[in-house]
Amino acid sequence: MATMQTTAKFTLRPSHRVGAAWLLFIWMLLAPLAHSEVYLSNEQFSARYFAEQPPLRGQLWLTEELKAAAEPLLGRKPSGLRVRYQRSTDGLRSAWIMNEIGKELPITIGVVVERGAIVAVEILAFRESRGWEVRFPAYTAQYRNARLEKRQLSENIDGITGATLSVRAVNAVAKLALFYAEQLEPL
Amino acid sequence: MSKKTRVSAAMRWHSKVGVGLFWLLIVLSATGIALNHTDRLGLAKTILNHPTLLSWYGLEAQPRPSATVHNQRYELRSHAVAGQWVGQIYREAQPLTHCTPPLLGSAQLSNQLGLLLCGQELIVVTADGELFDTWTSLDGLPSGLVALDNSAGQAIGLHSDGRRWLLDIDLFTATAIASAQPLPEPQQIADAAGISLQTLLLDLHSGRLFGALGIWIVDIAGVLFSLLAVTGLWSFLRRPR
Repeated sequence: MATMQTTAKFTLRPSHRVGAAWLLFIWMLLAPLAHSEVYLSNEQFSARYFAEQPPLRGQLWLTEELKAAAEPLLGRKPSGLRVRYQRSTDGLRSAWIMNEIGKELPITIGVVVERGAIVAVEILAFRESRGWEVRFPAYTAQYRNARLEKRQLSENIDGITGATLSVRAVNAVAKLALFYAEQLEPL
Repeated sequence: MSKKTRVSAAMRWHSKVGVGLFWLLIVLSATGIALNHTDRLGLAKTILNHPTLLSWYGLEAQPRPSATVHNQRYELRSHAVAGQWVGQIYREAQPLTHCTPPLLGSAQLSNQLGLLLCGQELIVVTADGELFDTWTSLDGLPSGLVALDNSAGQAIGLHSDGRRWLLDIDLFTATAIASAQPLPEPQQIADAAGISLQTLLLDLHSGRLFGALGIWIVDIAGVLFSLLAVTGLWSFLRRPR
């Protein structure tokens, strides 16, 4: 009996191709909704910016005066009675991790400040369905070297279309971290 | 039929349909404009929980989950956004802080501090009802806690698998201690407590608020609006000069 040689060839019917295209389209539409995740834990953040020596940990008490002074930066009085921070042993560098609501859910933002200027901004966790583009290094790099000048950031920060509220939240936290870092006593 | 008669017949149809659709057009325009400014108007954050509305949506009005610590009553108000439950703790009708539903438990830690355990956060409050701090899993809060206990002024977090964690509220550190019997899994949020104004307007705009009939009415209205545009343009072009 002659053996038939068959070659497996994977082809899609035209109707299946249309179906696959629709599935891809729907996935592209829904993909942004799935960006609710943690990118960096506090420990990883700490290890990244205090690589040489474990940082000192402290807390800044938010008095009524301090809250009133911070209000213009945040657009409202900061909530809570304390803010925890990490600080290098020489006291020059400090790191602040804060939550700020974008549209509905808190964005966890880490800001590293050294000598009154921002060294880095990182998005540790993003829970909103939209606006997650703020986590991209191309965006967060804009904050590098920004200082607080007349309650505004000294560097111009370009926004992101469709992420206005997230950008606003990151801007507010960046200003707040610079302000809080100013309140720390030198070591 | 003369040109003038055809135009006047078209205009009669145009005006009758226009009057018939007047209110629908106003409602669709108003809801459409409002939905375009959802963020500015805070539509997603405005939660409606009138019993009639909830019953219209097939939801039962239930008392909101609440906890009392230091005689302060804390209430969880929650709503769904993109399939995700979003909650906020309120005290005396004032928002206090974010809380991922459900509200799992509460404990009075000392004369000064109290605790509220949410799905993903441990909220520390003062005896005056002010927010002291929030501890999340990013800061090392063990995930999967389902209840709180208090032992000699120290907070104990109970995991559903029976593990017990000693929670240091000053340093935000957790230490595993002796296990106990597994606890039942917490009930999922049962307080479909409200409908956001955004959802209501969206359903009104699309007609879904009135079920399949509403969708058909809006669809037919859409076709008639298009015909109105056609007859309007046609009568403008064909009007006697």
